[in-house]
Amino acid sequence: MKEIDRAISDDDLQAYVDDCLDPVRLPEIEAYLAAHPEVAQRLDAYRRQRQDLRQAFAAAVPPQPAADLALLHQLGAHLARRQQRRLLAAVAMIAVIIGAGVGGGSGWLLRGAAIGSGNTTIAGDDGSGKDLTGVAALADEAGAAHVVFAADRKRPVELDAAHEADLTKWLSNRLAHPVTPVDLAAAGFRFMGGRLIATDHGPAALFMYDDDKGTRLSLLIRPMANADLQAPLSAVKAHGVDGYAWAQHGIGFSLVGAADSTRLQQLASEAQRQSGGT
Amino acid sequence: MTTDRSQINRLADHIPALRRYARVLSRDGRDAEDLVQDALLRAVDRLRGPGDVINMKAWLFTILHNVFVSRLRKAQVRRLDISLDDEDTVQPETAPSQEDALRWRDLLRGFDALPDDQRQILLLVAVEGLAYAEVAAILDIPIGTVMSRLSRGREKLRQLIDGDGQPDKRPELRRVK
Repeated sequence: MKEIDRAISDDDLQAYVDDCLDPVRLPEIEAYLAAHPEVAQRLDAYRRQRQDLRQAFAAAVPPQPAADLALLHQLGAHLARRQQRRLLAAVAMIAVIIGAGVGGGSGWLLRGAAIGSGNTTIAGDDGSGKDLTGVAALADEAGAAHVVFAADRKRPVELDAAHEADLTKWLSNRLAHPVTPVDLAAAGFRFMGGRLIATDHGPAALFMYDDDKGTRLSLLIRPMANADLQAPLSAVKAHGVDGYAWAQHGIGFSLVGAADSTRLQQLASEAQRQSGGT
Repeated sequence: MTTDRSQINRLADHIPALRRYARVLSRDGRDAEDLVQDALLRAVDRLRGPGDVINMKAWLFTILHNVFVSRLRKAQVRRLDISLDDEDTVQPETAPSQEDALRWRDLLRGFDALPDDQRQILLLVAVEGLAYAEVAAILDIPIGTVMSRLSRGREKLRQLIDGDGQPDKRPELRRVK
């Protein structure tokens, strides 16, 4: 195909012209060229051609220092704009991180005053730390889970109400504590089902309810770690979701959703009553 | 790691070479400058820091080539390639002058008469001194194709310039397709 001689290809000859032939092959090629002066002539012509082309291009496309400067200036401006965009993106990212810290820590709205007359105490959250504990953490987790799962129109729960027995058994096993969904039907909220979720304080059960208007509520239940083994009902707000949280006998509850505060309080009180408190 | 001014200076050294390649690609002076500018802006966007690009020249040529190809597609421009087999279509216009400027002018006329794919490869290999593998990567074609086009381009240009009117005197040098 490319064979000119038995062992010498046109590729070899091109490489010879371009000075990139494997040195091992050089004697072989030179011997061939000595025996074929017409090929040697042609390769010489290629080398001259290469040199001439370089000079011709140097003449045809001469240095343009002014145009170079203009181009570099433009690139510099482009680069500056890009770096500015990156800087803005970095600032925005930092703002998000700070915002998350504020939302999860000192920025917590503990509306204890909404219940009783400010006698609600949230142990474990002195407003200074980022790591939430006790009922505050519980409410935070409920709010976060509610935002994610209640918005899911297609599959808000993993096991639906028709599989309540399976769901209850599964969750009770994983939490190492018997948990059952409370019944809020009397208040207009149907039990939809639930799922297991992960929290910073271990596994938690998440039950979901809805009413005829499509309003959804999430009830999070998990064992309390150390803080707030017993905590009275208190209003909380996390991740933009209102709710109530409480703890009894080492088990924490948080009911959150888009219902109005009064109704939420009634629902939470009912849930608290059913789950063995008050 | 952010790009700083020294990154741009890294590009500056290659502007003349980019202009040459752009001229070969576009055959048009203004268009060529535009191509170079576009390619350099893209390069600035992709630079991350010192040492990120090992072979700056080949990398820039690749970007320039891609800019050119994407423009061609957008413009739906179809260039007239002179087929290698159309031996009659190109004849040397004048005998080579002994004067350099005239010789170079003639050489470039002959060069411009080559098919685009041969012109590009001849420039990248012979003028810019890139390795065959680099050229294959820039043009995104097999290295064997680079070699055959290089060989055909060189021989065709030689015939045009030497004006011997006797293409491929030796039968064993003919490439059989």
